[in-house]
Amino acid sequence: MSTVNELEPGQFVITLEKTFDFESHKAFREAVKDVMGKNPQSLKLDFGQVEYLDSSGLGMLMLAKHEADARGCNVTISNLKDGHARKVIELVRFDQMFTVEYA
Amino acid sequence: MPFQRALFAASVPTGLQTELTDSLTNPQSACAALTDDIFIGHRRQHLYRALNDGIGTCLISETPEKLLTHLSPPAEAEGELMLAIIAETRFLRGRSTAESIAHYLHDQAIVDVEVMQNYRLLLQEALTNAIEHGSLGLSSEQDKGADQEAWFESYYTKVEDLLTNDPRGKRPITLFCFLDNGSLHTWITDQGDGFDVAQAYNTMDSANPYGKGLSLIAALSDAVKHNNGGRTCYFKIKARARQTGLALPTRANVKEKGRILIVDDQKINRDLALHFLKSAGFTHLATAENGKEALEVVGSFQPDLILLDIMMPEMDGFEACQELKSNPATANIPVLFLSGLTDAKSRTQGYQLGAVDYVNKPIDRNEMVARTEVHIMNGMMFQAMETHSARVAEDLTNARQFQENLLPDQPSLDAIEQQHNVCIDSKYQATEELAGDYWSLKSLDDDHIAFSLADFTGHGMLAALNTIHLHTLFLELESLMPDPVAFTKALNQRLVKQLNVDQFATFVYGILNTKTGDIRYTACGAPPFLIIPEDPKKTITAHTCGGLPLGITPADVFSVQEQKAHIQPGDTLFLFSDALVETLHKDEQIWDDDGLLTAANKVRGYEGKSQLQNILKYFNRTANYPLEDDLTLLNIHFQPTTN
Repeated sequence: MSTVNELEPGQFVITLEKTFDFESHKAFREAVKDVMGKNPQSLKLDFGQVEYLDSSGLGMLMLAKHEADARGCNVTISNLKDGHARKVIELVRFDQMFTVEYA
Repeated sequence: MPFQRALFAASVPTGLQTELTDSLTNPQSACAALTDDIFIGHRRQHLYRALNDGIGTCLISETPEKLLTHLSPPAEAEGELMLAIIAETRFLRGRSTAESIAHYLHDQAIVDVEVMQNYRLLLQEALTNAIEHGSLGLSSEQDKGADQEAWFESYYTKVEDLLTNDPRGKRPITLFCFLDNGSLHTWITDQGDGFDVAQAYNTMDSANPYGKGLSLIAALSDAVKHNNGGRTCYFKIKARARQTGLALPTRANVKEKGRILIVDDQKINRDLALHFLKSAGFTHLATAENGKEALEVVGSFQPDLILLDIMMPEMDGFEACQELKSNPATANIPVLFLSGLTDAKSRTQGYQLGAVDYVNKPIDRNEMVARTEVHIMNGMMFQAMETHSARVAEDLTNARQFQENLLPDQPSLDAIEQQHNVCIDSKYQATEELAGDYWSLKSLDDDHIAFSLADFTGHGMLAALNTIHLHTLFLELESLMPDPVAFTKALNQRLVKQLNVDQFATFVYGILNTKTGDIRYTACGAPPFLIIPEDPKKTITAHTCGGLPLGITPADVFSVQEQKAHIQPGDTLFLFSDALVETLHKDEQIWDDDGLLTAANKVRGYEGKSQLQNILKYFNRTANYPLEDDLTLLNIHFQPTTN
């Protein structure tokens, strides 16, 4: 499950699980849909627990960014640790497309 | 089932009129979809947009209040409402409106292609009649004179003029389309002056205002009728739904096709059950007097449901049920016990033996019929799903074969090996039936081979379709292949247009000069490739392939640079998709790039020229199968020149 929190009005955080892949698809899309319906100004994707990320996960990131951009909402990949997920994100240059905050 | 006016009452939200007026008087809102069910617009394009969006109820007008009074469908309409259009005449055009509506019905899987074409023509004729002869009151009966072309031109200029400038252009036209008993029923009503229906039908083929259109409508449809003084045109055609996936049974199917075997030793009970089921509409019924006889009949009668009494001579119901369930041929037939043994123990025993339900004696007619229907329906659904999944499985097998055919075949690889003095090995393994990976190898000329490996987001059908698209792009952009940067940019530009926002491909493309061993390559977020020297004392090098994946960034943002590498005679170029380094092994760890290097080093001294086979064997020892992603490996062994 991807859990959604609203820190302050309009400031959202979705906390991702250990693996962010095809299996996470439904839960993540619902979480994003939920946030997008609440007039978001910023969305943080908390990668603190993420150890594994595959191409489906990257696709979901693009989708979240696309929907957020359309609403003028900024997406941040936050709490990104050293390890596989970080390597994948840097490999595909997503660090240039998203704001990234390292752990 | 008679059509309920309530349907409309329910789908028109409270206060619609106010909202309508607001949305249409507000210049900011060119059009508005107020609900998922009803679309409102005030331009011709809005109608097409509504149909494109799959909204079958459309109001097209600048003054919707007036149109709302026309919302009631024809009194004789029955079945399910498929489409309702209430529009001012000036927003409709016979040809284009008919085309949109026909396509809409096709998209909604209500009609197949053939019916769609037919229906489109029908609508075009009927709508044109309603627009030109109905609302606008024009007649095409006059003497057209010698210059028919000029006459038609002036006629159509007049039509456009009236539609735009005459109050008659604001007369509403309504179109209702209902689906009932497999037929599509259409009513088109205009608010014109009508015409003499009897006369028109009598002189259908002669040159009267409705002459040509009417005879065409009559020829294309199964029935045609004019009501309301000629203002309403009704026609009907067989719908023949486009098959999309599951063909689920209906209640009518259940009674028409359901086969029921009644087993009871008492004649009066058998007759009673027969009578109940017959009067409920079932037709395929058979009886048996005890369990033994039931087992004999089952093979030839092939029931969909068995109503089984428990206390019977020869063989009782429990034993018969046990026999049925132990035979694979009959195990799936649902058994429903009919019994006076109503104690919990008997009922439990029945369920334990595999019965689906239990009806107490004395039998309640409604209960028995209802339960019978439910279980036959379930059985039919199960069968429909089995048929469907068998079909899908067959489709997938064919699709997989097709997908594998896109990859280089053995003869073409043999030819490359001969021409370039290389040795090629590959592995391509889909995690589901279809894969999102693609690789290619092609001889550009006597000195160069081009290699590539792409991995689309996700796996399964969508990813597989993307690989097919990529393959066609390779063919289309073949002339750019000698220039890695130009080729990669062109691929990206095409894929950005084609792919959904959450789909893209990691990609590596390179050209190997087979005389010098120089490699020029471009990379788009792919895993690195390895160069494995023949000399075990030399280190294996990993060449990073980071970069923006294909299909995300538009051409003006996308950038990619040419990179260089070099390979010595005897070395191996090894490409792989990320499944090789991201698969979880028995120790709960993934290899990652470091693990792969360790593995490649370990197996380097093994026999054979294919490092791929050695690495794969090592991988398979501990990898958790089934793999979660598609695995593609490509091994190009660069042999020393023999001459």
